[in-house]
Amino acid sequence: MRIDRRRSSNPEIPLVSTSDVAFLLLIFFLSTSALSVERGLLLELPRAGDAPAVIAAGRIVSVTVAADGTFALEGTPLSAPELRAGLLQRLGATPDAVVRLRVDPAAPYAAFVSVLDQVKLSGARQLSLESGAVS
Amino acid sequence: MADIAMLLLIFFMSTSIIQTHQRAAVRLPGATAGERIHSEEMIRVSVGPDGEVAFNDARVPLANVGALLAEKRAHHPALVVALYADARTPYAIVGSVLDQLKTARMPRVTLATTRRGGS
Repeated sequence: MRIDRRRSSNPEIPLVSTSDVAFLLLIFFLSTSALSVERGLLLELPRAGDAPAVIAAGRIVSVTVAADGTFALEGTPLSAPELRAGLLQRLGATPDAVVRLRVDPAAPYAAFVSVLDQVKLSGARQLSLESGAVS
Repeated sequence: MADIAMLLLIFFMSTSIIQTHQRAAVRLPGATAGERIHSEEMIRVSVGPDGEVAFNDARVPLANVGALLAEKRAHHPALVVALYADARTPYAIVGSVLDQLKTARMPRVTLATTRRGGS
């Protein structure tokens, strides 16, 4: 009996569809990871041991956030763009002005962040944070 | 071709794994001046609308935030805090967390926000 030894054709793994699957997954991960860029406002808090800074009254710009989330510059209620304009005006007159931000404990965090946003956009470099009831 | 696709695939898979532990419960406030958060050596402190605080994903009591952070800082001196607080949280709770960061000597904090167009 003769054994046929010519049947050894070289074996192959079919890889044609692999690139299709890879591209599909690639597009999936591309689209999901593009959405997840995280952003934030950077704050540099004073250190616990630091001596309290003494600031001349003329350099202080007072901004308050009331319990209902409305805010005021030097006691006058304003909208967010008006607040930025007001701050820019004050910073034009006194470039080293310090923004004193007084936030009502009951005020929503979103209101605090939107004021902080306007303060950052106005270019003020120094901020003093305090918490207390705003009438 | 398939090699390049696989390479890119592995890259995007490995980078997007970091995002899987995103908290669903926190609705971030919007801001225009937000900068990108660099996530190396960062601890994610999330604050829910009712004052529940979590480190990365582990719940901690509000009063212990400072002590626990000071402990973590002892192990990783370059640690930076990213504060993921809900937009509806009363300021008193966020203020208390900020005060505790101050006492824990972790002065650099990023307040996470979502992007908002215009002003």
